[in-house]
Formats: sequence, structure tokens, C-alpha cells
Amino acid sequence: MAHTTRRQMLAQSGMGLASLAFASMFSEDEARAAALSVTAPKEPQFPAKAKHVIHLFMNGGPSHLDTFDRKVALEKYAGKELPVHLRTERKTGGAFPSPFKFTRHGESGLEISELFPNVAKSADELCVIRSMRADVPNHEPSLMLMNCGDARLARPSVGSWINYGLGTENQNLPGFIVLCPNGYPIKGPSNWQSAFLPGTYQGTHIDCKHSKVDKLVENIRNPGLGLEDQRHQLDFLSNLNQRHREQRPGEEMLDARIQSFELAYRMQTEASDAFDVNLESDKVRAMYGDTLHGRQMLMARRLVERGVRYVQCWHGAGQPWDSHDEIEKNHRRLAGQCDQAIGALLTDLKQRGLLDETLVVWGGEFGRTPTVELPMPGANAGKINGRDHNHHGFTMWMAGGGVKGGHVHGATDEFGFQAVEKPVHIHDLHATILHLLGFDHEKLTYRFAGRDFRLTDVHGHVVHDVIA
Amino acid sequence: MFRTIPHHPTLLLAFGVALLAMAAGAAAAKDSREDFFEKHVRPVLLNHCIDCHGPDTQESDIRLDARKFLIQDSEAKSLVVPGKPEKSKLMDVVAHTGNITMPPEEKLGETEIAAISTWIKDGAVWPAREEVAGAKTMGERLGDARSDHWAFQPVVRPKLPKVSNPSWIKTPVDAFILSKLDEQKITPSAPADRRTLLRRVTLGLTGLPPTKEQSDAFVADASPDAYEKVIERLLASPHYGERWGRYWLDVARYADTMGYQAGGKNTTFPHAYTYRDYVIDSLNNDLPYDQFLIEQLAADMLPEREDKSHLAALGFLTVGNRFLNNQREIVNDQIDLVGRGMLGLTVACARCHDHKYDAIPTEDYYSLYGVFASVTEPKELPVIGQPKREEDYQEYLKERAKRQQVVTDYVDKNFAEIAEDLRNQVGDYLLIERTSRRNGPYAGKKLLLTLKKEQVRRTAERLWKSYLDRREVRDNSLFGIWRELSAVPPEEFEQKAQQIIQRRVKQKKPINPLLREWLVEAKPASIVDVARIYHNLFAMVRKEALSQSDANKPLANADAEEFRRVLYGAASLLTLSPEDRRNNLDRKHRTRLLQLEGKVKALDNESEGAPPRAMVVLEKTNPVNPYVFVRGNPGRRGPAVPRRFLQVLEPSERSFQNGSGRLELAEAIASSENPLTARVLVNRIWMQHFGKAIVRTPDDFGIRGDEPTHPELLDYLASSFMDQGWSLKNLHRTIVLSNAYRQSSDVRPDVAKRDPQNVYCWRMNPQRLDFEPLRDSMLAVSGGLEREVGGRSVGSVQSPQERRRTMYSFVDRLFYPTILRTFDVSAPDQSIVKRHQTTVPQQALFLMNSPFVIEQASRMTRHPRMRSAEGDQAKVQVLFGLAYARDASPEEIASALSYLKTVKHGDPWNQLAQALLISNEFSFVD
Repeated sequence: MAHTTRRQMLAQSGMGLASLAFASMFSEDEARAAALSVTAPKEPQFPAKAKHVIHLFMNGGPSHLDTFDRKVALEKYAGKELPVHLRTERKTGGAFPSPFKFTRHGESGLEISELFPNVAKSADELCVIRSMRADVPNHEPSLMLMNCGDARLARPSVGSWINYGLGTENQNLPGFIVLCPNGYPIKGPSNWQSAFLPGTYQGTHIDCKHSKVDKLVENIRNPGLGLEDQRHQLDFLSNLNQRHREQRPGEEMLDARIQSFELAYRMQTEASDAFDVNLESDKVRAMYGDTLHGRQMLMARRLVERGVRYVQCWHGAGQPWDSHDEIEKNHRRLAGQCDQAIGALLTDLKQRGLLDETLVVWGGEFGRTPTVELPMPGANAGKINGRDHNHHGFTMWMAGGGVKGGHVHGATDEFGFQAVEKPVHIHDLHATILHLLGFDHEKLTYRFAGRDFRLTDVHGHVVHDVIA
Repeated sequence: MFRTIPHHPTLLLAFGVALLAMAAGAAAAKDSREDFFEKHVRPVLLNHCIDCHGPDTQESDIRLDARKFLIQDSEAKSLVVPGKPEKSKLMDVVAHTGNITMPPEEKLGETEIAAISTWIKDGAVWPAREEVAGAKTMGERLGDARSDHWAFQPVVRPKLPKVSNPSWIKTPVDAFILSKLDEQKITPSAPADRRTLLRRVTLGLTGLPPTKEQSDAFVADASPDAYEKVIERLLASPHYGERWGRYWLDVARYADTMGYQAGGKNTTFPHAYTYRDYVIDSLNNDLPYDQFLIEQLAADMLPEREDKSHLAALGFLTVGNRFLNNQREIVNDQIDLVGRGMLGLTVACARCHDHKYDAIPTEDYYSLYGVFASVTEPKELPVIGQPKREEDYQEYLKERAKRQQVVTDYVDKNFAEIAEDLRNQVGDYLLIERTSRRNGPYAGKKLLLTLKKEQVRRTAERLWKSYLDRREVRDNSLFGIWRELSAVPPEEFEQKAQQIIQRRVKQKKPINPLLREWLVEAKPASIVDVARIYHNLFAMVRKEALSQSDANKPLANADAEEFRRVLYGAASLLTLSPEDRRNNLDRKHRTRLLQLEGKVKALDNESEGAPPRAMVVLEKTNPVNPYVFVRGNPGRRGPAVPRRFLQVLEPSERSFQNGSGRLELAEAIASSENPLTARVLVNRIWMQHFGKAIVRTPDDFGIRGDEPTHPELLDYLASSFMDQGWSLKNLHRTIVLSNAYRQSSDVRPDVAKRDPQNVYCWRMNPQRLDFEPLRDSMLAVSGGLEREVGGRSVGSVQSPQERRRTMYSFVDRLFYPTILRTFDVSAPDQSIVKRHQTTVPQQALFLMNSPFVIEQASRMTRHPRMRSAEGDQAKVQVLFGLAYARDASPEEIASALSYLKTVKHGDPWNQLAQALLISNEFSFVD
């Protein structure tokens, strides 16, 4: 590659000392010469198990109290005012016990509700953090905080930082892929922005309700030209470019662009394969289920298998898990849509030996209140059977990628309103994810506008307790 | 688990910044070690040591704020022995391996200790140019910065240096370039050939490529001023303003939308385009740059003019993200914009604390905060011009009135429903009015008559509250007694109620006779009973009013009439301005309402007949007197600060006198006394022409920024720029007429070995076209480009039908097109001065497969010249001529012809044309 050439040139010319004068310009210019290397795989700061991340984003905010954080005390207080009452987005009333049954699973005896029977089969892989905290009970800032580490300002998303730090193992696919069926979640592409990092680190959004690859990835197919004809065209292009290049000896920056067309050509077939779940055996497809989410999770596995660094799977457009009313019905439906697929993903990753190097992260932007949401005209149809947003305490779980399995970290109070034991803020989660990938979150920085920015800004502590 | 930190400095450094990994070869350089110190060691000293071992206090006579205090001649006395962590006392102390352990409260982290060890091992490099920033008082730092830092020194026009070859000097630029080259014993490169030069300067000045005819003509023009003529033609082209305006729009983080807003609100700035056009027009008219800056900050404060078009300049302040209307963020964005965008200073870094490196106290940040927090935006933006055609305008007015009527009808209809409810539920709302108050005996109680809690309308509650608070209502004959009775605690009610009623009668305070009668008669035992009385009385009166032909007609009975007037007529509680009616609709009507209002806004946005308006700001009546927000937290007020300019640039520390001081700020920035403004600007113009800046951190001229590679050149450009009336066109002339600019870009291997980065400018740097000139070039050579300048924003850059220049496509800040980011176009999140340059396969995918590119290729093959060309060979020549403005060589023709034969499907000519459009020759400028 171009940058080797340049380095060799330096070595050959005995520039060791003479080049010192230019050292401050070196990285910029070298980066330009070897422009493609912005996505080349890089070593982390220290050895780490996790090499990929699959973030299962249950957007809207699933209730921890109905899934992974059982609170018996709510039954005692059913309908009555709780001794703790914290401010959330809307008014809530008395205690609302979970309508779902919890049972213990696996050797670890992890308590999981009936909503996730298939995920529960992998209970011994799950590292459940029951003491998550965010800052405010509103979707937009919480989405931004969860994805980009800042509730308001344009900052690079987690996936962008990780691609910036690690590059991607497969140059024929984007390093950060966002699978969201049926369109965009709230706040759209801001959720996977690269902000001041180069554009190549932004997430590539894919509407995975489609199955044809040209609908999945922008410009992935020429609408009129078959691969054979395109090959001829690129050969001719390469011919033009080589002639151009020969007239410009020493101009290595031209090589990167020449190379990019070959990569793009390969990306066309590679991407088609990566997203084509029909290439999987019937057995595997059946395991995931022939559903929207089954195909989504299967795609996610195929992508990490191919070296994609960060895959984010959103439950759907808008904010599906936002059950302000009819939580029993809605949560049952939503969990029903994804449980089999997530369960299959965990099992499948494990069977293929991929779980060790793939960190799976599950959760929403916050959880929900242990108290029932009070009716409000025009909001929740006057029904009194849902829960409001809750940023004071909620649950996320991780699996694989070097975390402890069958482990519970932290706790909310007796009623699940607030994280009280070993609270984990979103910044801490980010610090921990970076750590699992081999980065000190304080040292993965990027200088912009005079500051060395980082994902966790001035916050964040690695939660060492969850690391195996 | 303890993770060993590798002690090899190059390894550690590579960890710091992943991109640096590519520079591993140079990582041992002093600069990198300084960088390591700045990133990993200095913060540790600042955060953990300096308080007790710094300039103010030196416990145990130990000071850690400068290298000289740490290192003594004798190893035994030294705290640090460079290269030998094992012999350094500091290590023992921080690693807790000796008797003394520090810091006292808590041991440093493992990585921090390892960093200090690595730093010592690597020679304990300490940047010579400054001491620990935190160790000096701000006063000292300000003094040092003013006297020592290059960028704060006044701009003085340097003498032209002597050079080896005076005949090479075309403009003074050349003298400075050549003198540096002379020092290095490097000769400049030969001039580029004419075709190359024309392509370079045409794309450079207009962002569009020359045609083959222009190229041929230039090659053939033997007159001595052939090149000068070209420059004048290009500078006179309206495309010049578009090309250079686009870079200013990067600085101005221009967008056509305000970013995320809750609840389906229309986020479009329908008139942002007037700012964009102001920028283009100003550049085309060569508006002096100082004036250009002043207008963008304070056009509203300049003397009134007949022509209001300059007001559009204020879009600079208003086209930014609205951060969900969070004013602190909006102002922060504006401070950053002015700081980095105009002054090349990272002022916004001083939001939470004094600037870590530059002499910018946090007070300065809040001084500017006060200036920008003192602006307001008018509801109705001023019209600054005429729609193009009068018929369109009339049509627009008619349609707008129609759409506005739909909104009004919708509001009225739904408000009528609310009004009905209010009239029906008087008793309930009287109770709610009491219980929802913070004070009083009924505060927080749950009292209702007939409504269920969930049926209570917030709106109704609000309206009753504000009605009862009216001065003329508070103690009137209907509600005075209500107020008195509802002040009685419930347990005393029965006992006191009648007395209170009697007393009111006795004292001749107004009380409606009907009401009095009922109150006396019914003997209410609680406030709820009273509410019920009101409820029934109102119901009765209402029934009567409704039985008339018109409920708005007065009733004959004067006592009943008093009741009627609460509910009907001009003084009723339901008489609201149209805007209040709108704001009081139920939440459930909001979505639809916003949709309907959006249609009005859409018309302002889209109609040909809508007049252009300026996105102005105005001064608030009373300017904001700012306080420091300690740690950036508005809840923690620090000292009050005056509104004034940055102290480092204005040693007199004079406060602004005129209103918010915005105009004074603008004048201070645009002053020829300001050492930064002109330098920052000429540096950027140079950067765009040469592909490399003189100061390679174009938005940071502070201490951590780079120093200029050619300081005298920078100062020459800055001073002559100001002397020539801040004329940008003259600046361009000075640069592009120089021999330095006209050099060939060929690599000379012998020189490249000595100056691989071309620091000394011995050749022109080849450049890749940014996305806008690339896409615009495709449109231009295919003959599809629509050359109209300015106007409303248009559709997607990906659409094959969209034929305006790229800068006119609608910029949606929230849904910013992925393809633009893919091609390194900066997202308008904040001010961007220098774009990234990456090469990634997704760019190639766009070029290979997008309908836009395919359409341009196909349009090329439909070019009239293609139709008149006879034979394949001639057609190949036409396509090469269009794409590259040159003839194809015989080998190229042969290769093209043989390629055409391999094409199996589709139109071979289209595919050939596309290959030309996506080739390196098309994308790079030599």
C-alpha cells in the first residue's frame, strides 16, 4: 500500500533525522497518501477479547420491571402509592405490578420474565446490569446520550468511535451498519452520525424489511449494467487511470482512488452475499424464524462474521417499545417479535465460536416506571395500564465479548424506580464497551476545534465487575 | 487486573490517536513526545500536584510546574532523571515504592503512573515554548500571549527578501517563497503547461472546468497578458461567488433546517437561502471582507439603507442548529462560530473553565455570551426584495390567505368545543382553580363536582385561572365572595361561611344579588357546595341566554346578565386573541394543527411568489448582563462580567457601550488592528488554492496550533489584503498570478527526498476535487448544468433530474444526506474550516452506480457535438474533449475503440462516457 512505499522511501533515504522537521505534518500527509487506510484494521490499545459489537436497540424504552428486573414489592403495593416517587416525563400513580411471570433460568438462576423464553435459554451467557442510569426521561436526549454520549450536541456515535479506533476487518463492507426495519427511529441518522470524525465512520443505514440488496444499500448495484459489463468498464477505467498515473511518477495519492474502485466492485458482490439470508441453511433460518426480526438478526450475524465492526439492530422505526398504555399487550407483542431471533443469535454466535469476540448489548434508551401512568387527554387514550419513561433506573444486558455470563450487576431499589446499588451511568457503559474492545476511553481521542474529544467527554468509569 | 503498559514510547503514542499509528515512523520525534507530555503527563500534574507544588504554594519546597524545578544537575538532587525512571524520585513517590507517597488523598491510576514513567524514560521532554499553563495567573498568561505568541503580534508588512533569481518574481508572493527555497537550496519547478494551468485556475476560481474551446484558445493566445485576461474573466464570472461562497458556508454551518424539534414541528428555515445568496452576491461584488464580517454580525445595527438586502447577512447567526431552542447552546454555537470561524481561536473551550492553553479566561466567554444572548428574533421576518414576477406574488398572497383561513377555521372549530366545555363545567373549574394552586387551604386537594379527573382539560384550567386573576374580576360581585370563601380552611367552613357572606353585604362590597340569595338560602357546608351553587346558577343563566336568538345578546335581568358576561361577549373568559386560541387547543389537536400551519410555511418556502426575507436578529430592549456560569453550569452563578471583546486582543479591557455591543464586537473583529482576522482569512484562501495552508491548523491560531511555515508570506498577504481595502478578488489575483501558483505539480524525486511534504512549495500540490466541484463538473461537461445563480434551495444531489449546482441543494441538518458525508462534505453541525479528505469505496459506488452519474454520462453522449461527429474515432475525440478539454492520444483512441467492442449490453457510448467522468484525470487537478 501507498503508505508502506512512503515509509520505505523514508527508510531508504536515511531520513530518520532529517524528517524530524516535518514530523508535525507527517500524520496528516501520510493519512492523505494512504487515504484508504482510515478504514484499515488497527490494533487496539491493549489486547482484548471483543472485536465486534452487536447493539440490539429496543428503542422506545422497554420496561425492566417486566423483563429482567423482578420486583415482588410491587405486588404488595399494587394500586397504592409507593414510598418512593420520582419525577418522570408524565404523571404516574400507584404501584403497577408486572403482569408477567418470572422464572429462574440456567445454572446461574437468572430471573427472566415469560416475555423472553428464548433469550432465557442463554441465561448463563447474560451479564445483566440492573442499575443503569440516564439523565432525563425524554426520548430524544436519551437516544443521543446512549448513542453518542451527549444529549444535545453533535458528537460521534459509539459505532463511529469504534471504527475510528479499530478500522474494519473487511474493506468490502462498511464497518458500521445500522439495521432498522421500516425506516428511521426518532432522530434518524443523528443516532449513527460521525459528527467531526470523517464521514466514512458514520453508520450505513439499511432498511432490513427489504430483501433485495439494491434496496438495502445505496448505489450497490448499477441499475443498467451487469457485473460482466461493469468489469469491462472498470478495466477500461483502470487503463485510463494507469496511463494518468504513469505520467505522474511519485504521486501516490492517486493509487488510493484507483484501489477504491476495485474495493467497490468487490463490495457489490460481498454485500449481496452478506445480506442474503437465503444463503443460510433451512435449519438456521428456522432457528431465527422467518420474520422481520429473524432476518435482521441473521443479517447481523452474517455481518460480524464478515468482519463488520459494529452492527446496530433497532427494533423498528419510530419508538416501538414506548408502552405508555396497554403495556401487557404491547410488550408481549414486541417481545414476541424479537425473542426468538435474539435467542437464536446468542445460540448461533456461541455455536460458531463467535460469541467470545462479539459483544452483544441489549437495551433501550431508558426503562419504565414501576408506577402506572395516569391518563392524559390526547396522550394515552385514557387507559391506565402503561408505564412512563424512567431514566432513574433500568436494565441492560450484555453477552459475549469478555463479559461475565449468568451475572447480575447492581440493583434498583425495592420497587425498581431508581438504581441504588452500583449504579452504572451511560458514560460508564461506554467506557466499559471501549475497554472490552481494548481501549482506554480517556485515550481514544480526536482533536477538533482545539480540544481532544472523547466518547465519554469528561465522564465514565469502567465497570470492572462485569468483565470476566 | 493489572494491565502492563508497554514502555515503548512509539507504541504508546500510536495508542493515543489511531491515525497516529500511520505515523509510527516519526513517533519518536520531539513533537510527538511533547504531544505525549501534553496529553498524558501535564494533565496529571495539573490535576493532582500543582495545587500544593505550584507557583502559589511549594510544600516541602517542591515545585512541579516547570522542567527546571524537576531536574537538577546532580542526579541525587533531581526529582526526575531523564531517561531513568528507576532513578527518579518522582517515580518512587507516585508509584508508592518509597517512604513518601503522593498524592496524599489517593494513589494515581496505573495508567497515569505508567505514563509518567514512559515520559521520564523518553527523556522527560517538556515543551520549551511554555510553562504549565495552569501555573501562571491569567494576567501573566494574557501578558505573555500578547508579547510572545506570534499570532497576537501586530501585522506588519515585511520587506521583500532578496532572492537568487529576481526574474522569477511575478507577485510579491514569489519573493517569500523563493527566499525560503533559496535557503534550502531548492529551485522552484518549471511552470505548468497552459492546459494544466487553465484547468487549475478555472476550477480554483469557479469550481467548474474549462471547456475545450477555452483551453484551445488559451494555448493559442500569444499575447503577453493572456493569463491575466483569463483571471479577470474568471473573477468576473458569477460562478466565482458560488465556488468561494460554498467554503464560507462551511464556516457558517449553513443549513436549510433547524435540526431536531419535538412534536412534528416544521423545522425548515424557508428563508435561509437569502443568507446563502447574500454570501454569493457579496463575493461576486467583492464586498470588502471587513464589511462582509460586520454585516454578518450586526447588519441590523448599521445605518438604515433603502436597499435592505444586506440584512440577509444576519443569517450567519441564525441558520445554525436550534438545539431544541436551548439558548445556551445556540449562543455557544455562535461564540464558536465567531471564535474559530472569524478569529481562528477556540474561544468556546473557555465555557467551563479558563482556556487550558490559550489566554482566554472564562470571563471572556461570558462577555461574548452577554452579547449574543442579547439578541432576539422577530416573529415576522423583514421582506428584503421582490418576488420575480408580480402575478406570482398576487397568486401567492391569495393562496396564503386561503391556507391561513384553513388554520383559523380549524382553531376556531376546536376552540369552540373547549369553550363549550368551559361553560358547562363552571363548578369543576372553580374548584380546580383552587386546588391546583400552590397555596391556600385547598391546594393539592382532590375536589371535583361532575368531571372525572381524566376529563379535566388543562386548557380550561389555565383559562379560568387567568380569568380569575384579572384585576377587574378578582374582587367583583361574582367572584369576590368566592375568593373569600375559598380562603377559609375546610374545618372552619360551616362555622364561618355565613358570617363572611353577611359581612360582605354589610361592608357593601359588591356581591351579585342572585348569588347572595342562593348562598344565604342554600347554607353551603363546604366549598364544594359553593361551587355547586355557582355551577347551577351559571347553568341556569346559560340556558336562558341560549334560549334567545343569540347568546351574545344581553339578558334583560341585570343580575343574570352579570353571569352571562362571564361566558359570552367581549369581556368573557373565552375572549382570546387568535394566537391564544391557537395556543390553548388540546394536545390531541396539535399534530393536525402543526400540519396545517406547515402548509402555510411550505408556501412561504416553495411559492415562486413568496418574497425573500432576511433571517435577522434584533437587539433586545435590555441587553443581558452576563455572569460567569461556574463550570459551565447555569445554576452556578459566578462573578458578573461586562460585555466586551477578548482581553488578549483588547488590552484596554474596555466594555461595550452601544446596546449589546454586537456592532462594537463586529468592528473589533473586522479591525485592521486585529492581528488575527486578516491572517486567518488569507491563510484559508491560500489553503484552498495550494491544498495546504501556511498555518496548518486554520481554525486554531492559538498556542496549540501550528506555527506558519512562511510567517513573512502570511504577514505580507494579510497586510496587503487590508491595505487594498480587504478585497478578496485582489487577494486571489496576488496568489494566482504568482509564479509559485503556476508551477508544475510534477514530482522531482531528488527534491521530494528532501522535502517530501512540499513544505517549501517547490511545486504545486495536486488536489482532488471536493464533491461540489466534482458533481458540478459532471453537469458542466455533459451540458446539463443550469447556470442560474441563487434562489430557493432545490432537490437532492443524487437526483438525475437535479441540474443546479450542488450548493443549491436543500441542506437538511437532521437528515443530512449520507452521500455528502461519504464525500467528506462537512455536516453543518458546527463551523468547519477544513474538510477531511478520505478515499473510501462508497465514493466509488456512487460514481459507478448512481443514477445521477449515469444520467450525466448519457447526456454527454447526446451532446450536439456527438450527433455531428462522424465515425467512432471522431466520437471518442468528442467525449475526451468534453471530459478533459483536450484531444485524445492515438493510444487512448485505440484503447477506447477496443473497449467499445467488449460491451455486451446497453449503450457502449454511455459506459465509455461514464468511465471518463469517474476517472482520476477528471477528479484530480494537477
